[in-house]
Amino acid sequence: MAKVKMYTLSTCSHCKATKKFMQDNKITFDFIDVDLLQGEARQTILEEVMQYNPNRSFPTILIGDRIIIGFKENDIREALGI
Amino acid sequence: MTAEELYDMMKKVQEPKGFFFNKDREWVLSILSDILINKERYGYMCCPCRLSSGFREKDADIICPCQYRAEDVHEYGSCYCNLYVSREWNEDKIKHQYVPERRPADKFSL
Repeated sequence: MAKVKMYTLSTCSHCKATKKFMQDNKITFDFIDVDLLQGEARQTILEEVMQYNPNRSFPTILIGDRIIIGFKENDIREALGI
Repeated sequence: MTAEELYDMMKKVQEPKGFFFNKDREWVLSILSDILINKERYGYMCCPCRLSSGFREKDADIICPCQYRAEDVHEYGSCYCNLYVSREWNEDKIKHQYVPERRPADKFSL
Protein backbone atom coordinates (compact mmCIF):
# COMPACT_ATOMS: atom_id res chain seq x y z
CA MET A 1 0.00 0.00 0.00
CA ALA A 2 1.31 3.46 -0.94
CA LYS A 3 2.38 5.72 1.89
CA VAL A 4 -0.22 8.35 2.76
CA LYS A 5 0.68 11.77 4.13
CA MET A 6 -1.73 14.66 4.49
CA TYR A 7 -1.36 18.35 5.24
CA THR A 8 -4.53 19.42 6.97
CA LEU A 9 -6.18 22.04 9.17
CA SER A 10 -7.78 21.04 12.46
CA THR A 11 -10.82 23.20 11.63
CA CYS A 12 -11.35 22.26 7.99
CA SER A 13 -14.45 20.25 7.11
CA HIS A 14 -12.92 18.69 3.99
CA CYS A 15 -9.83 17.72 6.00
CA LYS A 16 -12.01 16.07 8.64
CA ALA A 17 -13.93 14.24 5.92
CA THR A 18 -10.66 13.01 4.40
CA LYS A 19 -9.35 11.77 7.76
CA LYS A 20 -12.66 9.98 8.36
CA PHE A 21 -12.52 8.42 4.91
CA MET A 22 -9.04 7.05 5.62
CA GLN A 23 -10.10 5.71 9.02
CA ASP A 24 -13.29 4.14 7.64
CA ASN A 25 -11.22 2.41 4.95
CA LYS A 26 -8.59 1.33 7.47
CA ILE A 27 -5.85 3.25 5.68
CA THR A 28 -2.82 4.14 7.77
CA PHE A 29 -1.91 7.79 7.28
CA ASP A 30 0.25 10.56 8.68
CA PHE A 31 -1.14 14.06 8.95
CA ILE A 32 -0.04 17.47 10.10
CA ASP A 33 -2.60 20.04 11.24
CA VAL A 34 -0.78 23.11 9.98
CA ASP A 35 -3.01 25.62 11.83
CA LEU A 36 -1.81 24.18 15.14
CA LEU A 37 1.83 24.93 14.32
CA GLN A 38 3.39 28.28 15.02
CA GLY A 39 6.40 30.31 13.99
CA GLU A 40 9.27 28.50 12.36
CA ALA A 41 7.63 25.08 12.54
CA ARG A 42 4.65 26.38 10.56
CA GLN A 43 6.89 28.13 8.03
CA THR A 44 8.94 24.98 7.44
CA ILE A 45 5.85 22.87 6.85
CA LEU A 46 4.28 25.50 4.58
CA GLU A 47 7.36 25.48 2.42
CA GLU A 48 6.95 21.72 2.21
CA VAL A 49 3.27 22.07 1.24
CA MET A 50 4.18 24.62 -1.42
CA GLN A 51 6.37 22.08 -3.21
CA TYR A 52 3.27 19.97 -3.79
CA ASN A 53 0.60 22.64 -3.95
CA PRO A 54 1.60 26.25 -4.71
CA ASN A 55 -1.86 27.43 -3.55
CA ARG A 56 -1.23 25.98 -0.10
CA SER A 57 -4.82 24.83 0.24
CA PHE A 58 -6.00 22.00 2.47
CA PRO A 59 -6.13 19.08 2.52
CA THR A 60 -3.06 18.44 0.39
CA ILE A 61 -2.82 14.68 0.18
CA LEU A 62 0.20 12.63 -0.88
CA ILE A 63 -0.45 9.03 -1.82
CA GLY A 64 2.78 7.46 -2.97
CA ASP A 65 3.90 9.83 -5.74
CA ARG A 66 0.38 11.15 -6.39
CA ILE A 67 -0.65 14.59 -5.16
CA ILE A 68 -4.34 15.16 -4.58
CA ILE A 69 -5.64 18.56 -3.58
CA GLY A 70 -8.94 18.52 -1.75
CA PHE A 71 -11.17 15.66 -0.69
CA LYS A 72 -11.67 14.17 -4.14
CA GLU A 73 -12.93 10.75 -3.15
CA ASN A 74 -12.70 9.13 -6.60
CA ASP A 75 -9.10 10.28 -7.11
CA ILE A 76 -8.18 9.10 -3.61
CA ARG A 77 -9.78 5.69 -4.16
CA GLU A 78 -7.96 5.33 -7.45
CA ALA A 79 -4.60 6.30 -5.94
CA LEU A 80 -5.13 3.85 -3.08
CA GLY A 81 -6.41 1.13 -5.38
CA ILE A 82 -9.60 0.62 -3.33
CA MET B 1 -22.42 31.95 21.22
CA THR B 2 -23.23 28.39 20.21
CA ALA B 3 -23.14 26.99 16.69
CA GLU B 4 -26.94 26.64 16.83
CA GLU B 5 -27.33 30.32 17.70
CA LEU B 6 -24.96 31.31 14.90
CA TYR B 7 -26.96 29.08 12.55
CA ASP B 8 -30.24 30.82 13.38
CA MET B 9 -28.65 34.26 13.18
CA MET B 10 -26.93 33.74 9.81
CA LYS B 11 -29.86 31.89 8.25
CA LYS B 12 -32.10 34.91 8.77
CA VAL B 13 -29.60 37.25 7.14
CA GLN B 14 -28.22 35.06 4.36
CA GLU B 15 -31.24 33.22 2.99
CA PRO B 16 -32.98 36.36 1.74
CA LYS B 17 -29.76 37.08 -0.21
CA GLY B 18 -30.01 33.70 -1.95
CA PHE B 19 -27.37 31.90 0.11
CA PHE B 20 -28.72 28.80 1.83
CA PHE B 21 -27.07 26.60 4.39
CA ASN B 22 -26.18 23.13 3.12
CA LYS B 23 -29.12 20.83 3.90
CA ASP B 24 -26.69 18.56 5.79
CA ARG B 25 -27.25 20.23 9.14
CA GLU B 26 -24.57 18.19 10.92
CA TRP B 27 -21.99 19.35 8.34
CA VAL B 28 -23.12 22.96 8.77
CA LEU B 29 -23.04 22.91 12.57
CA SER B 30 -19.56 21.39 12.50
CA ILE B 31 -18.31 24.22 10.24
CA LEU B 32 -20.05 26.84 12.37
CA SER B 33 -18.37 25.38 15.48
CA ASP B 34 -15.02 25.70 13.71
CA ILE B 35 -15.79 29.29 12.76
CA LEU B 36 -16.43 29.97 16.45
CA ILE B 37 -13.10 28.31 17.31
CA ASN B 38 -11.41 30.70 14.87
CA LYS B 39 -13.26 33.64 16.43
CA GLU B 40 -11.82 32.63 19.80
CA ARG B 41 -8.35 32.11 18.35
CA TYR B 42 -8.02 35.12 16.09
CA GLY B 43 -10.78 37.52 17.10
CA TYR B 44 -12.68 37.21 13.82
CA MET B 45 -14.64 34.54 12.00
CA CYS B 46 -11.97 33.35 9.62
CA CYS B 47 -12.94 30.67 7.11
CA PRO B 48 -12.14 27.36 8.83
CA CYS B 49 -11.26 25.69 5.51
CA ARG B 50 -8.34 28.06 4.98
CA LEU B 51 -5.21 28.83 6.96
CA SER B 52 -5.54 32.10 8.86
CA SER B 53 -2.62 34.49 9.05
CA GLY B 54 -3.86 35.66 12.45
CA PHE B 55 -4.14 39.22 11.13
CA ARG B 56 -7.61 40.54 10.36
CA GLU B 57 -6.44 42.89 7.59
CA LYS B 58 -4.58 40.11 5.76
CA ASP B 59 -7.53 37.77 6.11
CA ALA B 60 -10.22 40.32 5.23
CA ASP B 61 -11.15 38.39 2.08
CA ILE B 62 -11.63 35.09 3.95
CA ILE B 63 -13.74 36.23 6.87
CA CYS B 64 -16.96 34.23 6.61
CA PRO B 65 -18.91 34.79 4.45
CA CYS B 66 -15.82 35.16 2.30
CA GLN B 67 -15.40 37.38 -0.75
CA TYR B 68 -15.36 34.32 -3.02
CA ARG B 69 -18.70 32.89 -1.91
CA ALA B 70 -20.87 34.67 -4.50
CA GLU B 71 -18.74 33.58 -7.45
CA ASP B 72 -18.39 30.03 -6.14
CA VAL B 73 -22.11 29.63 -5.46
CA HIS B 74 -22.83 31.09 -8.89
CA GLU B 75 -20.38 28.77 -10.69
CA TYR B 76 -20.49 25.60 -8.57
CA GLY B 77 -23.65 26.00 -6.49
CA SER B 78 -21.59 25.98 -3.30
CA CYS B 79 -18.97 27.95 -1.43
CA TYR B 80 -15.48 26.51 -0.93
CA CYS B 81 -16.47 24.88 2.40
CA ASN B 82 -19.87 23.54 1.22
CA LEU B 83 -21.39 25.72 3.94
CA TYR B 84 -23.43 28.13 1.81
CA VAL B 85 -25.10 26.68 -1.26
CA SER B 86 -27.74 27.55 -3.81
CA ARG B 87 -31.29 26.27 -3.66
CA GLU B 88 -30.57 24.11 -6.73
CA TRP B 89 -27.55 22.51 -5.03
CA ASN B 90 -29.68 21.61 -1.98
CA GLU B 91 -32.36 20.16 -4.25
CA ASP B 92 -29.72 18.06 -6.07
CA LYS B 93 -30.62 19.74 -9.35
CA ILE B 94 -26.94 20.43 -10.02
CA LYS B 95 -23.93 18.19 -9.65
CA HIS B 96 -22.10 18.40 -6.32
CA GLN B 97 -18.59 18.88 -7.57
CA TYR B 98 -15.36 19.82 -5.86
CA VAL B 99 -15.08 23.60 -5.43
CA PRO B 100 -11.50 24.64 -6.17
CA GLU B 101 -9.77 27.37 -4.20
CA ARG B 102 -10.56 30.69 -5.88
CA ARG B 103 -8.44 32.82 -3.55
CA PRO B 104 -5.36 33.98 -5.48
CA ALA B 105 -2.14 32.39 -4.19
CA ASP B 106 -0.58 35.83 -3.71
CA LYS B 107 -3.23 36.69 -1.11
CA PHE B 108 -1.81 33.97 1.08
CA SER B 109 0.44 35.50 3.69
CA LEU B 110 1.64 34.69 7.15
